[in-house]
Amino acid sequence: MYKNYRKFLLAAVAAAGLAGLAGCSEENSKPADSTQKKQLIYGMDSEIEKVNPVLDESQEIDTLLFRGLTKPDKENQVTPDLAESWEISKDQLVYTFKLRRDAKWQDGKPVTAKDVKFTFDQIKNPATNTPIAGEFNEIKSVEATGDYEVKMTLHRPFPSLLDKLKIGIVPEHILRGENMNETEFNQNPVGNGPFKLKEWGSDHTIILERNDDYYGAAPKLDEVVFKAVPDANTRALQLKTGEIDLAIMEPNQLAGVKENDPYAVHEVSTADYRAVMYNFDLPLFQDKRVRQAMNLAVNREELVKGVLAGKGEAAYGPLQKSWAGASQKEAYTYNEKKAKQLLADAGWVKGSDGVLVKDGKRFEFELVSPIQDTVRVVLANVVSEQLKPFGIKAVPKPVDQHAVKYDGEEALIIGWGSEFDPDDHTYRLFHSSEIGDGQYNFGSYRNEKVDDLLMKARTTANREMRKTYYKQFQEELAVDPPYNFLVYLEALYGLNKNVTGISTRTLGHHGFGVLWNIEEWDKKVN
Amino acid sequence: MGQFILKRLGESLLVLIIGSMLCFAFIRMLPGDPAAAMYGDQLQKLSEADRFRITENLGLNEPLPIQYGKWLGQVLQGEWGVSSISGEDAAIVVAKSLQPTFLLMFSAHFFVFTLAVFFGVTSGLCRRSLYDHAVTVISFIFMSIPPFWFALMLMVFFSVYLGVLPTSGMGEGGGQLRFILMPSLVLALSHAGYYIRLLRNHIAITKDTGFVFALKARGISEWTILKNHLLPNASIPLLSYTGMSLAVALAGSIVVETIFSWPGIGRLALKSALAHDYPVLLAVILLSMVFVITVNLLVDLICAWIDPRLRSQLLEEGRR
Repeated sequence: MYKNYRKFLLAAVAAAGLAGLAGCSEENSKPADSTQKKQLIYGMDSEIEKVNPVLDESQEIDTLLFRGLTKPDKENQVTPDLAESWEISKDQLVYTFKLRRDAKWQDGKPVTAKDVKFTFDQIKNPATNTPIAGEFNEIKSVEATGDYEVKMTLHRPFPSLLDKLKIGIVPEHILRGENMNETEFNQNPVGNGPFKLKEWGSDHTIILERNDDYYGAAPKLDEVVFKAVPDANTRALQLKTGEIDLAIMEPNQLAGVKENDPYAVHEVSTADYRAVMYNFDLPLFQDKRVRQAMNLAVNREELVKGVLAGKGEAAYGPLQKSWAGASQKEAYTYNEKKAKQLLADAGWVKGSDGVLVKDGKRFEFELVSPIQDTVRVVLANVVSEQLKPFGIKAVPKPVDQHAVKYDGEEALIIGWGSEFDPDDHTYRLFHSSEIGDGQYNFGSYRNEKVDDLLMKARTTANREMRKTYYKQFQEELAVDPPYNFLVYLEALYGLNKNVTGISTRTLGHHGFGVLWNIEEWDKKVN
Repeated sequence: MGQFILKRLGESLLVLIIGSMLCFAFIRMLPGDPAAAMYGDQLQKLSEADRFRITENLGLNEPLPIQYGKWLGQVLQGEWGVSSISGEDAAIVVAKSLQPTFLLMFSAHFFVFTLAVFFGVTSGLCRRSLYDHAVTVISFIFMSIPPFWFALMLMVFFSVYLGVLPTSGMGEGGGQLRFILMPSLVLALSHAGYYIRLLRNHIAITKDTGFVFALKARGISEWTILKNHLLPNASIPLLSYTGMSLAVALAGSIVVETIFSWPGIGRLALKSALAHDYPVLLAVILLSMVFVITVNLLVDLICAWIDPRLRSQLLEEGRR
């Protein structure tokens, strides 16, 4: 009886083997044209659901399809894009842009001032579900003063406006009257950028091809493919097999990268920093000396090495990556003696359990971090351990990111940092007029000197003057710290060795913006 | 029989209504909301005013029972609402990811049944042999290996080392066979063990019963006994188990679909849950419920068709 089964087994194994072989031979007979094309395949951690710059700013694909009035250069300075030139009024409240006349939508219609007005009207339209409206709060109105002339009026001087205007412009003639949240345009975009949509696959793989009518420098690549590969380990394997050319990586994956792999890892610096934010409603944090002491009690090199696997930098202030950066290294470097001295000067004495006490109050606070962000959770834990020998009890409290009350926690690990104008993530974070809902001075930090310097820096046009103001501002932050700046993150991009063009421009949060110079990217094909 | 089916359909409807109510209430208890999801890692920039505005735009500010009533009314008219992440019709979003999942389920269960019938029957017939022990041990190993790890190991071997299979994605047309091989193998191997054990035990017990001895005594060939008596007998528990384990397989597909970037319903469920995309999430859950209920009904019917004892029992129930 068993003999029959053995024969059956043998046949089954043979059949399976044959099926496998058939599969293999198919692989080898890949169509030849796909290898000839210069195709960049980008493996992303999530699917692209919609493409519309008005609805979402943080998608790399936007830059390829939609161009804005300005664009950043290698040094993150503003350069003209759709706008060839602009004039700024003396009071810095009125911007007049002259648009270039050779820009076309991919359906052949010209890009005009009407499109610009339409785009910003839609961003500010309350019916539009967009997370970026807050970025353009300072814009009072946008007027098309001619076919190719736009006048933008602001509520207040806003130096980072020009940086923000890199946001893609959308076509008014297609979108007028459409419901922005649900229009079919979002899955069938018509843009003005260097690439255009070729195919939007049912598995959310998006293929873009070169737009030969693009007004700027012609891209060297023929196609860019956006493919969702949600699992980080799968992405690393696909870089190894060459199925994808570009993907963001995690520090713990670097050990698996070998010399003869077809890809190399690029460490790109970002303006994204992590810090401990204090809540100034708490009496505990009122004394400057206490916060200075905590700055000195944290060993930032250890954080970089231990938490970020060496892929980052110690943070010495909010503007480290900016042209206005003036490092206050000493104030943020571990100094046990000085820290203890400052705490003693402030009247804190160690109690019986090793925790500092003053007037019967213990030096104890909760240090909140969003549980979904591992780096922040670990930072909270390590900082808490580092403060412990000084008698400071920071109790790490990881909570669901939706439960974090940014203006209500005692202290929390916060992330900010802008790659653009130094005003961007300073005025809004540290100026006392920015306290309240929808504003970002969550800790209610108040310092008249800082207010004054930030206001001056914001309203001055002369760059050297601004630089001086920002230097003084950073010095004051070291004396009266709003945050305990910890580390700057680095973005790790795995890139196929045949691909060139990735730049060293400082990127935004989570390494956003890596494809900003896509026209210069190239790929060697055999 | 018709009465039986009607009765079961009535029950199913009740299950669907209660299930949808529970889902509707439960998914709102998850921390977060669509506005927060829209901001993603920039959540700190979300102001209360914007949260209120976006929530209102999506029609989520009304009391829950009223929202449920409206939703149910629309669903009954075939309107599933609009995805809050993509703005597309929820029914279309779900429909798009159905085909990949069916494909995956089908090919995984093809492997499961092939493996189960072959190893279950052979090891059941050779009970307590070395071969039987080997099958038991190996199926326990595959049952206990975490699928995500197994998936990565397969990728390392077949894609990186041998370079014969693509690591992930779905491919198109005839090429899909190469894409589906690994994900369905992972799903199949993590489930096949249960089926093999089930079948093995059943065969082992049945082959020692009196009627099998009687058949043997009459000189009926062993192959015929297996084909006409042992297998049909063992197919009843196997089919019932399939109906039950389908829900588990659907849940397990989330992991496999994520690792292999397979654009199926599991990925969609996870994605819409994380993004608080309520219309799509509800559609997915309801659809999975319908699917599981239907398959279980079919299993009951097939079992009744195979087994006259069950048939008469079902007819009896239908009359009551």
